[in-house]
This record gives sequence, C-alpha cells and structure tokens, in this order.
Amino acid sequence: MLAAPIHLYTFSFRGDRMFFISNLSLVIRPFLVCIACLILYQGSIFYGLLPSSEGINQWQANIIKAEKYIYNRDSTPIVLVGSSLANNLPTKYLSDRATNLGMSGGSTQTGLEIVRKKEIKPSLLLVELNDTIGRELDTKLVTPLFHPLTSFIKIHFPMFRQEYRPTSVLMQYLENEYKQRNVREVERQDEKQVINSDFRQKMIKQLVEDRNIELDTQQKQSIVKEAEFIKNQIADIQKEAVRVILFDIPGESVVDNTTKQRQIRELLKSLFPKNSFEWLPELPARKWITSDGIHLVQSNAKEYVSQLDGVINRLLNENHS
Amino acid sequence: MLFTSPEFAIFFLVTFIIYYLPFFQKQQPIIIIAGSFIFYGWNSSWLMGLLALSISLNTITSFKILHSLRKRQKHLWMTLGIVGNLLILGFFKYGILITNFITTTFHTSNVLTDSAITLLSDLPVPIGLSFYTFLSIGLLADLAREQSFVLRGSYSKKISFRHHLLSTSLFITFFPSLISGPISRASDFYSQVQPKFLKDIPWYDVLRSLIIGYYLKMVIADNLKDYTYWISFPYYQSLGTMTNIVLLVGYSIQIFADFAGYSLIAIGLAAALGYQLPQNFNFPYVSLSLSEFWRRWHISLSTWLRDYLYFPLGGNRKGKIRTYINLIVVMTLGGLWHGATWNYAVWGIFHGCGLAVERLLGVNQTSKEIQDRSKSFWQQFLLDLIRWFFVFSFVSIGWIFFKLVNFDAAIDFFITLTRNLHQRLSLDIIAPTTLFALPIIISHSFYFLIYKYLSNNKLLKNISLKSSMDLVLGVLLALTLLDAGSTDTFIYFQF
Repeated sequence: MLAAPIHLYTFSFRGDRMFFISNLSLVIRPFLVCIACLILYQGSIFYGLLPSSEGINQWQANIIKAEKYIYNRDSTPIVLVGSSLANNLPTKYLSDRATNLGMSGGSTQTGLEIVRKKEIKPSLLLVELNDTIGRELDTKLVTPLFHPLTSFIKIHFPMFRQEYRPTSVLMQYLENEYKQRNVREVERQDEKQVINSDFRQKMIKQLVEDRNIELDTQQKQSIVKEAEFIKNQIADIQKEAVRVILFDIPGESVVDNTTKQRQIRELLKSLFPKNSFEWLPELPARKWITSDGIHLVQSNAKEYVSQLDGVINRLLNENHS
Repeated sequence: MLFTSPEFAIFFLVTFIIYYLPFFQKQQPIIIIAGSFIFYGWNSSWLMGLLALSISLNTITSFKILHSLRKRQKHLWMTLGIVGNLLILGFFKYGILITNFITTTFHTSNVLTDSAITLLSDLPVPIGLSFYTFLSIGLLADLAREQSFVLRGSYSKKISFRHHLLSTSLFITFFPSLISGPISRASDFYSQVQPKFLKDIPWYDVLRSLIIGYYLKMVIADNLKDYTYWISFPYYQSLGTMTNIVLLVGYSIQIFADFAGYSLIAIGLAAALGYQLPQNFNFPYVSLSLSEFWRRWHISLSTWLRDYLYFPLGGNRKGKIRTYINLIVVMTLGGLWHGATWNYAVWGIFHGCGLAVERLLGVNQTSKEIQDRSKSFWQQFLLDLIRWFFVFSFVSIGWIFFKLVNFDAAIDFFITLTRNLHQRLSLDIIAPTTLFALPIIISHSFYFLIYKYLSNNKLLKNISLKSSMDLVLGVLLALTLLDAGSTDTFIYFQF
C-alpha cells in the first residue's frame, strides 16, 4: 500500500496468532531478495565481470592493501612498511617484486604487525622510520584482518573484501573512465598537487612553526616506547630469516631542518644504532619538493623510488655475491 | 557499547532469548534492567553507579509526588527531583563551561578555582546523560500534572514502591533508548510495562526498522564521515567553494543518517522486546519552513522542549515579543543540551532567531498547509522548491557549528567559501560524497512528491508498494553486508 513508505516509523502491535504468522512470513521475502543479490554479486566477481578497486579513501585503501597482502598465498620477496610517506611511494617503479604496506594516516607498527602475523615472510623488509613512530599500532585495522571467522569468509567469499565494495567498484570504474578521457590532466599531477601554492606555503610555514620547538618529554617517551615495540616486532620477524633494512624518506628541507625534526632524527639513530640495525645507505642529497611539507610530489616520489631501487638492487647483489 | 558492534549483537541475542523464555516471563523487566546496566557500563563500570543514582533520585521523588495529597507538596518534590537531575547533568556536563565562564567573567583565578577547573575538565561526560535526564524530568513533570497518567489509566495511588521502582528503573535504563533516545514519555512507557509474548512481535516492522536503521548508520553515515572529514580545520581551506558546499550538504545528510539510523535501530530493538518508542524523524529535509523542520527532526526532543520548556515559559500566549523571546531561549537551551561549548549555543540561537523571523514574516506553515489552489501545479512547485532551498540551506549552514566546534573555525569556513570561488572541483571527494548521499536525496524527493503532490492521485493509491518494499529491504540488507563503513563513531554519543 501507499502507506508503507510514508509511515516508515510506525508500528502495529496486534497480539493474535494469524498476525504473528503472516508477519513472520513477510520477513522471509526481504531475506530471499538479499540472498539472491549476494549470489549475483559473488557470481559476477567469480566470472570476472566486476573489477576490483583500490579504495576510494585512505582507510579503505589501507585495508585493501593489507587484505591483498594477507590473502595472497604466494611469497612476496620485498615488503615495504611505513606511514603515509611510504604509501606515497609508487612501488610499481621500485620493483615488480615489492609490496608497499605504507599506511596513510597510520604507522610503521601496523605494517610490521601484518608482516609478523602472516605465515609466509618476505626475504627483504624495508622499514620506514620517521617521527610518526610515536603513533601506535592500529589494532582496529589489524585485528579483524586476522580474525579466523572474518578471514575465512573473506578468503572464500571475496565479495566481502574491501576491494569489492559496490560503491568502490563503481567509483573506480568512473575514475578510470575519467582518467582515460583526461589523460593530459592526470599527467599534470605535480601541478595539481602544488596548484594551491598559497595553501601549500601556509601549511609548510605552519609545520615549521610547530616543529621549531623542542621535543617535549611526553613525545620523547612515546617515541621511545613505540621504538621498543618496533624493535620487538623486528626481532620476531628476523627470527624467520628476514633481512630488515631501516630507512627514512626525505621531505621539505625547511621542515627537515627544524629543531624537533632534528631531535627526532637523532633520537631514532640512538634508538636504532647502526651497529645493531641495518640502515639504508644515504641517498645523494638534493632539494626535494613536497605537496604539503611532508609528502613528496609524484615526480619526486618516482625519482626517490628509482634511486631506492638502485640501492636495493646493489644490496641484494652484494648479498648474493 | 555501540549498536553496530559485534559484541552488541551477541548481547542482544542473549538478552532476547532469556527475555522470551517462558520460565523468566515474570522477570522480564528485571532482565531488561540488568541488561541495560551491562550495556551502559560495558566500557566504564562507574557509569552504572551514576545510573543507579539517577534511578534512586527519580524513584523516590516521583513516588513522593504520586502520594502527595496537596499540590504544593507535589510541586516541592517535583522541584527537588528536577534540581537533583539538573545538578547531576550540570556537574558532569556543564561544570567546566560554567566554571570557565565565572572565572573569565569575574576574573577570579585562585588555587581553588584552578583546581576545580582541572577536576571538572578531567571528568568524562557520561554517555546518554542528557537523554535520561530529560526522560526523568518528563516523568516528574507528568506525575505532578497527573493528567497524562490518568488519561492512559496506567498509574494510580495504590501502586506499591516496589512496582514503582521497577517501572521507573525500566523506564530510565531501557537500553534501546538509553544513550541516544528517542526520549519517550513516562505516561506512554509505563502503560506498556506488562508481560510480553513472542507472538506479539511485529516481525516485519522490526525487520524494516532494523534494516533501514543499520543501512542509514553503517552504509550512509559511516561512509560519508570519511569524506566530510575534509571540512575539518584546516583541510577545508585547501578546497574550492563548490567542493566545500557539497561536503556541507554531505554532512547534513551524514548527521541525519547517523542519528535517524540509530533511532530506527533503537525503535526496532524496542519493538522486538515488545515496547513502542516514539517516532524520532520523519523526512526532515522535505520541510518548507523551519517550524516544519522541527516537527520532523528529532521529534521526541522537539516535543519535549515544547511541552516542558516552551509551554511553561508561556509559549505563544503572552504576546508576539514574548513568543520570539521564548523561541530563542528554548532553542538556545536546546543547543546547549547538545554539548557544553558555546558553539552549540550559537547553533541554538541561530535556529531560535530563524524560527522567530519565520513567525514574524508569517511563513511558518507546514507543507500541508501551504496549498494555494489559485496557483498552477508548476507555480506551486517552483514556490515550494524555493522555500525548501532556503530551509535546507539554513539548516545545513547551522550544522557547521556541530562539525567545527571551534567558533573561529566555523566562521573561517564561511570566509573560505567566498575566498576559494575559482578553485577547481575535487572530483575524488565530491563523487563519493554524492554517491553515498544519493539514497537520502532520492528517498526524500520520493516522499516529497508523494506527500505533497501525489497523495490524492487515484492511480497511485491503487498501486501496491508492498512487494517493492520487500525488494528495497532485501537490497538494503545486501548493501549493509557488502558496503558498510568503519563504525567507530556516533555523532550523538557525545550528547
């Protein structure tokens, strides 16, 4: 009846048996529709009719990245863990053997925990260390990924994975269409990233102001505490013959040279001394450009990755020889 | 415990099974009360003590009101009860605001006030405190007035203290509505305290309410929050005007879906336990006036404010000027009810002034009342569209004071709108926001057309929408399973 959608929030309490039976039978129909929809959706994924997505926001992209890594039963030779700085690096230019578990808005600990908990380990693990190590492990992200029930469901029914969420799939399709029609615009990514130059300068200025103060005791304690946590994670992973290399991603020089930033770098060097931990050799110095004072613009990120690739290949070759 | 958490699903299932076991039939109210204490104290057990304090205060004062023979005595106990409730609310929720206000206004800063501020700022705001305080005040006022209880025949002076304690505890703690409403009326609720049977459950209504509720909350609100995040400080500054406007509309829809979804879940859960809670939202974004908006938005709070604040202040019976003042006062207090920051007060004043201006201009009619037969369909439609646009824009602008709790940031947001006019659209933000907001836009448009223009259409009256409703519910359920966002927030939790 017409009244159904209009009186959406009203109820009719009638306590007779016929009412109960007819009411209960009505419940079955929506469930049947739901099951039919799910079968159709799962079937579309199974037959390759629906492409997967990379996520339409930061939280989703992080989960998709983690799910793809966890549910992939093949071994991945190189894994990179870190924060949004690492996530910003286009791994496709690094090596086709590398997986990037950099978490936007997240921490190194999250990526390390995923590597630690996955049975199959990489041969080389690159660990990005920067001031964000003060952030804690994202248990809300990691715990459900390794929950036996949800893992079982996601392994056997990929429709429940983040990469197949209907809205994300639709958005990914629209984005790909847009990119194909606006190739030139996509190529001008750097320009887009620094287009609002006033805002960019303002953000950098703000960062410099914020970081030109001494590192306070609380921040220091939090970094020390999380560093201990990371050390334990690394030790666990190293037990399974994984080579772990620490590295730091460069940023805007004015930000890197602030008081707090320098203190954090020194603190990290003392917490992860070179005689106990392997650090990536310093890359040639140059002026790096960021979009916001922290994250490298795409062209710079590509260049950094190609330099990183060279160093890693050299290290691996040394190892083999 | 959030309704969307897995532990709640287990908690509810266990409670539901025990509740309907024939063996426990006589203990049904006690089962809900015990369940409610577990639900409320799940994350912080001290909250259970606060709830017990509220129950004790309200049971004793309301029982005294019930058994007082003189009107003066009734009013004395009512005043005592209300003051007690407001003291608890004031201490936990507004203590810091009041102390800060006093110290800054009178420049009184000493060791005592400083330590008071430290103590108050360290106090956590108990979730749902505002909701059950309003419930309790309503109970005391209703009992003192007597009429509503007498009319429903639910209470008499013969009632024992034990029975009253049980009913009052159940009324205050009832877990489906404990932390986020809807704010039920004691007279409606007490009359429902009787044995419940499985056969009486309106399964279809329960299912409909739960599916729509969970869809609104988990798919629409929880996904939109990942985009409306961009209108937080200072991120909106980097976005163009159009992007910010779309995000503001997205936030309007998020806040509706978040709260209406949660209310619907509460209504559905209550119905599964045999209790009927009041309707809380009725397509608020189709309103053609602010008065209509407040008759459709958070209905249980609006009617509470009307009955227990606006009417006692004199309502519209004491002249035009007093009416305007009353409206502004009620809305300001309604704003402050949401939180102890001046931003909420500004939001309340904003709405109060809007309502007053609307009355002054005589445009406070509802959609149904504005039906000028002398105008053609399209003339009327265009006029309604303009009115709708003004109301929706007004309401959405007001929500910025919810999103940006810092007043300077809220003002800066509007300055940014004028500054970033020529900045390009951020399609990666706008597209998903629009996509997630679309179901609300479609359902409101559909309702608006049917309610306003096609309600007398003979053809439509004969069309059965029942089967299409089943289809919609089935699809919504599938989408909730496939497309839910991360559910770690609930905007109204803080209120």
